[in-house]
Amino acid sequence: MTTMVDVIILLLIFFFMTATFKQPDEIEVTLPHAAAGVKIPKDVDIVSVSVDAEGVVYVNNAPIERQGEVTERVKEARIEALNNGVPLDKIITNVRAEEDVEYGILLSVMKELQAANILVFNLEVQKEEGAW
Amino acid sequence: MAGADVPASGGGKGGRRVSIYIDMTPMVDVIILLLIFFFMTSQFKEPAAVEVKLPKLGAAEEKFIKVKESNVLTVKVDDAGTISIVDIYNRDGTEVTLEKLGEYIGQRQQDNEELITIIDVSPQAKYSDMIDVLDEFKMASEQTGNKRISLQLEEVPETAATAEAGG
Repeated sequence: MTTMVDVIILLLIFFFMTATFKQPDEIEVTLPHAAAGVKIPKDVDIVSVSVDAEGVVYVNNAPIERQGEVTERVKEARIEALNNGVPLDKIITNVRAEEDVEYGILLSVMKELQAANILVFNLEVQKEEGAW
Repeated sequence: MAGADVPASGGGKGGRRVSIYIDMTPMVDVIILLLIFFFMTSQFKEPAAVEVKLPKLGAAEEKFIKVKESNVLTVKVDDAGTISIVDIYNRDGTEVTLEKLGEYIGQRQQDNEELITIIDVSPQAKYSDMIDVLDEFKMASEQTGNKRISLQLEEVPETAATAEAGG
């Protein structure tokens, strides 16, 4: 058994070292389920707009306080990504919203994105079937 | 007890006890390799996304596109999450279940390639209700190839709501 335990401990260490942990400050949301979701590409820079269970809107995990701020902050985030050398077509906008939140909040978020001239964005969902 | 006895035919000296020793090492090796394989290939609970395209802001005022009433299918979701369909066959709106909605959209899309589906969700409804409807549309459109959808963002002005009649 000793050898096996040794190997398993090494494996454990390896996975702990290499694991990419979820950002601790990421807003916790329960995404709605959908079967039609497609995978989010890996090599992109994501500007995330989150809506939590209380209906608070966040852009890249910073809360929004007033109307029109989503537009400004999303624009800023995109410019920042551009300045970091990310090509424009690799910057995508994802909306992650709690499933039970009022749709009206999403409506205003979408209108603000539209005002920022972001006409293509993703609504993040949880894939309903096939975990693998 | 009997299981530990060596069968009489097996060895010469009947009745002698042999301790059973199974070498687990190769099995454990294989299991560890399998573990490694699955760890490397697995992706943990990856979120998926539904893509949404919006028209340019103010495009509606610049270019008012008239659409035949027969080419429009409106899916309405009220505050409580009740889904109803409004089109030329059901001008007053017919309540449907989510399962039936997908079927209906698919059928209408097959009958009419130019069909535009409008999703009109009440601001008081739950977000998941809207996603459910959008999901049904996406599933139907995957089969028919008709991706014409319109998300109702603004309150509909009376002129826009009454699409060109007599289509």
